[in-house]
Amino acid sequence: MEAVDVTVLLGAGMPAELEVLEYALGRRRSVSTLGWDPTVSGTVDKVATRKPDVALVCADFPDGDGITACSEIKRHFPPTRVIVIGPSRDDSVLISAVKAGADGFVTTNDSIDDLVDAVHEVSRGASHIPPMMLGGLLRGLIEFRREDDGAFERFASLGKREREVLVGICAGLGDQAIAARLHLSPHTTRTHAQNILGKLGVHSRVEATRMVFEHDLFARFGIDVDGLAEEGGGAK
Amino acid sequence: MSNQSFKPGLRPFQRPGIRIEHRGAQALISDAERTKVLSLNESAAAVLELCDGRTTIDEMVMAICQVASVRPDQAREDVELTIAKLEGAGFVAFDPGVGRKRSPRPSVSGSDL
Repeated sequence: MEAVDVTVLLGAGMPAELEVLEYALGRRRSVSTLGWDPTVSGTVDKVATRKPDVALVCADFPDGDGITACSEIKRHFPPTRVIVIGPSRDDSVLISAVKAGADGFVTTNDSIDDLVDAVHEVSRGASHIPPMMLGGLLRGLIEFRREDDGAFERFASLGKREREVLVGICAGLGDQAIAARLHLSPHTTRTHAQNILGKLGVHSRVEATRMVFEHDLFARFGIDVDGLAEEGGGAK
Repeated sequence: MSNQSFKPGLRPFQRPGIRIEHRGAQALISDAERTKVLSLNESAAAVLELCDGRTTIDEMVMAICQVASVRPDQAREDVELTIAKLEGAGFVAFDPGVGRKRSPRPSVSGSDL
């Protein structure tokens, strides 16, 4: 099943790894390599210009990680299929890769034959997950969905003023700045902040901010936060 | 088309002592006494791993659809067939207080799911 020639671009943190991979893949008649890059930004740029069928990205890069590379490629170049190469003993990397849109995952323990099989599988539109890691992956996705549903419900219980205060908290603003922005007293702002933490079921403003961004709650509730990043230096 | 059609919200659980042994693309499932052995593909073994009495069949279907290029109705049929097979072999059970099957219906379309 290796008749069709598939073009591949490689991205990883170590040039030595990339050269070995490129050499090994170059010996397969069914795979053509279009080059490699040791940085996330360089890998994404090369995907843009060389348009490979499959991007193979390792989990570690000096300027980020394979998950970021995967997410950037899927966002800007959806037709390119992405395989992340990561550890076999850590389901969290696999779960993050799938959440970032990866079409396949190959472990660092797998052989070049496994990698070539995975390249062909994803290029045909299928997904490729190491069989032994499938149960852990499904479990992780289910747990995340439960957390996601819980976060959504808790956020929905916040009142309008509380949501406005939370936007300020997530922007990294202090009570005084939030109060001035919303024309409230600092005391009222603190009371809102305490109520927000209670309703979200978290213990600190940092946890609240993490929950908001991890579950993309502002966007899901149509709350515009443009401009706040510069104001507070905290939000993205 | 599956003839099982389990109720939504049903939470199957593994019988105690079940052992799952991964062997390449297959998995060997055995019971506590090692008297029963079943060979499953890894997708079916993954479904068995999710049978913890807490996870619903709906949750399994949604997670599988997130990972594999498969339609929800196809994923549901595969999951229900797997669970029916595991239940029949005595590896999986349901809360005895919960009726497990839906009333029979003539067909299922994608828009029903």
